[in-house]
Amino acid sequence: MNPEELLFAETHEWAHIADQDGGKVATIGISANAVEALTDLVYMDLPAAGTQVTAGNSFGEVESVKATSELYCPVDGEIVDVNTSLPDNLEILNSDPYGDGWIIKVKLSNEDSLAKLLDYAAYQKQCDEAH
Amino acid sequence: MNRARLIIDPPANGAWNMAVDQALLETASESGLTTLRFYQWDEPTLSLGYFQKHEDRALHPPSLTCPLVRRRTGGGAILHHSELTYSLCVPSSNRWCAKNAELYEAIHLMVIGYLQQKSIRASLYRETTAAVKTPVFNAASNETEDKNNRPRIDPSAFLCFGRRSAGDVVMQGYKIMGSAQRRGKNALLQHGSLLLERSRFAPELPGIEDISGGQISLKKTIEKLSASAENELRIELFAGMLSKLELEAAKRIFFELFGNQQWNLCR
Repeated sequence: MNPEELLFAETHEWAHIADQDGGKVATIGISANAVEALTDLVYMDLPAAGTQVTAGNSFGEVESVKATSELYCPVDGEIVDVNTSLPDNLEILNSDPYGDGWIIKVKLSNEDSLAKLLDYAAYQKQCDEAH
Repeated sequence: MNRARLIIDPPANGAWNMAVDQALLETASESGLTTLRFYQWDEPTLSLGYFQKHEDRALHPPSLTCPLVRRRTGGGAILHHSELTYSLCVPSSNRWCAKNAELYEAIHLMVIGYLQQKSIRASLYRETTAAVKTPVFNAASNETEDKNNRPRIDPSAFLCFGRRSAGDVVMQGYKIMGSAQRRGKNALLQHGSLLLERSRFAPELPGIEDISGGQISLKKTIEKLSASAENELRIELFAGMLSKLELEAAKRIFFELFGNQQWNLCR
């Protein structure tokens, strides 16, 4: 996916919103900036499909050589798919964070949280200001 | 310059120590207060990295009788005995919160600077460092050194101090300090251990005193590192203690997580 077409949370997760079966489904991952900042990833803990998630709350955890970080869901809804092969192939997050490195798919229960997400330019500005 | 709290705690139970660090992380997240804390452990304790399996402690027979606690930070297990432990909780409003490796190295460079003042030479480990000594307890042979008296090497060592990552503090190739971070939405916890002396529960790991032959005063180390933190992190420290609310939070966290076997044995 082209990162310029994605929405971003301040906590570095991205979301791609698509229409599906009359509703909206968000594909969610973490940004290339986040992957770079985390350095060498070693573990990832993911939830099961069917789990209800809330925007701003943790849905998983990732461990790098230095830091354990929580993954925050950018939308409200139910997890309908999980990239279960990812924890055993974390290098994909480095090579393709916006494609094969997707983490979960969430069927949105509402669209309230979308207004709080940043577009690519605003997210890049946030990253630039942090350095 | 930001004001930050300095807490120097007496030795305490491992689960309580981890609960206090978590409570301080919540404070940093909710109120924006930075806290630097120094503490020790009231009995030799094995802390597991967040993602480690508790059964793996069988890989390290010398520490099998020690109580166990699971940290919320990652990395390898640590045998907390003759060491000084620190924690630093920083809110996201603090510029150091955005800098993973930089904060890790900043704290470690303070320790290296302090040791230099005592004529003890230590350095940051770099991945390109040629002579890497990674002592690993070898249960089969009961030996920690090879035939050339060089410590055995195992990149997947159970103990944190048997591993290496860039930015660790090493002396003569031995790791004497490591740290780990937990990132939350609004704050960062970094804690780490400075290994002072070899423990009989991890006999393969020499501490600063074993390697240098010198003695390390805990009180002076804390004073010097606190002063360095003020300079390097650009904070103004004031002596403090846990608030009533933080004590309540630490008790809640103790019972929910670190003092609870469901948590400690969850993997």
